[in-house]
Amino acid sequence: MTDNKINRNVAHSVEGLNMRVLLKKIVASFPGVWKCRLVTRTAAIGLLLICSACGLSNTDVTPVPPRIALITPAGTGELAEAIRLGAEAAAKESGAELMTVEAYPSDGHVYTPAIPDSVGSQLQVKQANADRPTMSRSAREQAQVDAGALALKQGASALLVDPLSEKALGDIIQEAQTTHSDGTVVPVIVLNDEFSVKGITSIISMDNMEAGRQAGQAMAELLKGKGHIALLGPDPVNSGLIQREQGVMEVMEQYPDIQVEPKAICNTRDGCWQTAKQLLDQPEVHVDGFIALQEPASLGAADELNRRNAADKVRIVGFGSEQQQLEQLQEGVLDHLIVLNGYSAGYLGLNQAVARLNNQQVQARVLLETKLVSTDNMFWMDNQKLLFPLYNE
Amino acid sequence: MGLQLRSRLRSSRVSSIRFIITWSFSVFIVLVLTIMAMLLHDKFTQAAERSAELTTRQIVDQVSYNLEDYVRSMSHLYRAIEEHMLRDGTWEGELVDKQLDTLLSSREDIISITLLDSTGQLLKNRPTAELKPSAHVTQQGWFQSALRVPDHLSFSLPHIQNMYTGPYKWVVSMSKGITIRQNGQDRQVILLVDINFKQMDELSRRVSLGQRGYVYIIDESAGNIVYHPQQQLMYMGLKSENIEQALVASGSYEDEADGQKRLNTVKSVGNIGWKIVGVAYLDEIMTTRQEVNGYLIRVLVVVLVLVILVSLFLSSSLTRPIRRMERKMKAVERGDFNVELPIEGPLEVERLSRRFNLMVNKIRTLMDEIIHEQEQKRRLELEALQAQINPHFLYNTLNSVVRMVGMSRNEEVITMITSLSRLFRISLSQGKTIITIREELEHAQHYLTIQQMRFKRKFNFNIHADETLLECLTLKLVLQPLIENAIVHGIEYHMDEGSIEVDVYREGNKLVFRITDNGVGMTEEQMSGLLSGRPVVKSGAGSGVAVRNVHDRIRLYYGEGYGLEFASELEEGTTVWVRIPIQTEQKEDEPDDGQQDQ
Repeated sequence: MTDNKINRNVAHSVEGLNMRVLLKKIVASFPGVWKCRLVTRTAAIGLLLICSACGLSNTDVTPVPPRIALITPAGTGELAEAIRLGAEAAAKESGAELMTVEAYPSDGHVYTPAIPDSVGSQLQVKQANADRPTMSRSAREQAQVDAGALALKQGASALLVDPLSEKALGDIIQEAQTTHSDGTVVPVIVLNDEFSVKGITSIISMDNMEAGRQAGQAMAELLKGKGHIALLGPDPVNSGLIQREQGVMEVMEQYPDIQVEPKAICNTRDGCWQTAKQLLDQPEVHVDGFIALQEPASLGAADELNRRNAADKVRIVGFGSEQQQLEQLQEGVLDHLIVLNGYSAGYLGLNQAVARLNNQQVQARVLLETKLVSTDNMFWMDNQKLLFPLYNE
Repeated sequence: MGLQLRSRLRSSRVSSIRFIITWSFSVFIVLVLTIMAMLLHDKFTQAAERSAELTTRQIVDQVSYNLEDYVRSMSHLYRAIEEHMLRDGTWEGELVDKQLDTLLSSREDIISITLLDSTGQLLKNRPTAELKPSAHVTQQGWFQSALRVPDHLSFSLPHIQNMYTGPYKWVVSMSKGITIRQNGQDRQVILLVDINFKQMDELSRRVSLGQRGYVYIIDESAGNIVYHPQQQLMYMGLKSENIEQALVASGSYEDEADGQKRLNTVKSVGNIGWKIVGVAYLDEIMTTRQEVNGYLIRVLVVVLVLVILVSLFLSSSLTRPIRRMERKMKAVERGDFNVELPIEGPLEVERLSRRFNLMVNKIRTLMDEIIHEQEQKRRLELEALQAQINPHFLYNTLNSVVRMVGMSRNEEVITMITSLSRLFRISLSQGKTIITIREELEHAQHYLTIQQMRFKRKFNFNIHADETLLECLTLKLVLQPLIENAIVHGIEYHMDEGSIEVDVYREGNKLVFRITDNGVGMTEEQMSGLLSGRPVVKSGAGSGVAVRNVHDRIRLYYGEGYGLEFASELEEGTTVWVRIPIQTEQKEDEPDDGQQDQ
């Protein structure tokens, strides 16, 4: 009942003081510094986040397109131009930059590139000695190596080249492997040829074996499986030519009634003309058809048939799609041509380079299809596109 | 620190205002933003698609217009050639040649002009050249269509001109079968003008629809591809176009190639029977949905973080006054009623603070009232207790007086009556409950004197007091019941002569009365009984509650720290210590009235 302790010593006059102390305590428990800090921190973080958000939206920095060099001419004449067109198209598609470095003047007609587009901008580099019209083979090889070095100096991150020889290719690969001090290797894509050189990223070439088979098969059908044929071709300097020959021989084994003369070696148009003449002049053997393993051989054989006016008597199956060959094909002097799609060689070659630069799967060997074109079908719509990839002036 | 942590933990509870505000805010804002984003996103992408479509359409229309224009100018050219060549039904003569050469040199895209008869024999051509027999002109498309639909200018698809020696060229052939009168009879001839396709190729190639976009041209009758920038790839089988769809479509449609969405825009080119298809990759010409989505998600995340921060700040600033209030309430809980909340903060908190202050005030007033009531009650109690003492003693004393009068001991009667009257005067003390030590001791002395007489000098007594303490104050009637207790319980049954000593001295800041007797003493049990409130065994003339009464009164008045203490040994005696604070001035709350009738 009366056990609650009542402290009656507290005078009322002290109460005001107590209130002040209490207020002070309350304020002290929430120091203003802390408040200010919180506000500024929040504001700062907010600003930072907003800025970062704005930054985030602008992160679409366009990467520098890879610069890929094509050492021109890649092959001869129109094929080289078709290769260049294909590489150009692939560069435009993949957003790469195509740089062409001319090693020596093309022996085909002069090609003016397509209208430069906004993308796939082309750099054209000419070497100082590139204007010399005629060059020896060794000088050309050296020019090719120099062109490769020049391309690397210009910042090429990949090289496309149709090497003239194993040595030239070896030198170019050597350059490509040592150009960067940090050990990164510039990929080298070989076009149209096969060389057993280490360090090749990818080889883009026709299936020569299959092409040879196509030629043999076409000839066998022209002769209706019976007759005498002769092979014309240069010294087998590379495996491609050997394989063509092998392909031809493979088919001929199935036609026992077709006799194949031992291969006649000839390197130039005139040489092959002479060789064809000798073969046709043989009294004891009547040659019904020539299989010419290279452009000069087919043209030389055609020259001889034109001279003899024997185009309808002797068949010629050749390789290539040079304009003069096509003219002979139209006239029926050449009966068939095995055509390589140069455009697709350039296109696929550049794509392989891009794939390597993007660390994607690269095919060590890309085999291109070849097409058999005849006098009858050479002006069919799709063959026109294959044979005449360029819009001439 | 620990307290802060605890409050942190507690404030993170799901039910806390801070939590509710933060999350409801965040959820609400994010929800609103998401809905907005979705709506905007739809609107935005639709608008982007529309504008992309429009842009593509404009470009394709432009190409179409250019091509039409080119075709028209070529038709004019053809008519001019026809005019000049066959005006008089003859194509011979130097004037004709000259005019044709002028026309040829004025337009570099005319490759050749050829006039044939219906059997394919060459009648005339510019530039003059040999016709190749291997070209088989009668089998060519332009020749056949000219024969099939005479007097109608037909355009061929682009093809390779193979009639003349020289480089093969891509041409579009304009041909028409024309009937002329020659030497009085009708004769059908075919006029062929080959124009270089390069011009059209360039018109189409120059178009840029985004980075990789392009246009291609198909022929409406059969769906052949007239022009395609990647026609080679199509023959290689690396690319294909959905020509069937393009043939039947009009306007725009979307399709997909190589996993990429494309916008196709179709437009027919008049006079030539071609159709232009513009192909634009959607990811180039407009920000794709994924991009917009990604951006919106980023914005949402940022906003969410911001909202959480802001709402945390907001809620903590909202709940701070509430937490302050909570602290104050805790103080009240602990018994500190002298708190007051500052009237500040949000309106509701202000109101609450005001209410709280009012409430605390109210409690304070109520408590004051209670205290006052309690005191009143106490005083009444004290008075009641006091009142219990007097009649009892009076009765005993008057009994003794009566006895003495009966025994004619007048001297003693006088002494007794005098003592009694003094005693009563002191104990009345104008109704005060507080008197000086001097008065209390005087009172005790009178009481002892009376009792000495009553008990026939069975005991002696001594009173010693520290002189400095005499003016100090004490609750009255402290000593008397204890002395009574000593006499009645200690001395009365004692065989020897008793003695009672009363001492007043200082012990620290306390004032001590010590009452010592040499009576029979008490057991432990009796001693504890004295203060526990159990009525002790009545022993004749004691009030029985006297000792306890004193103890209670002291405690009531002075607080817990004061009161009685006993020490006793059987047959030896008892000592009682009474401790009260040393007070020298009268407390104010003692009412000075209360003159009671006795």
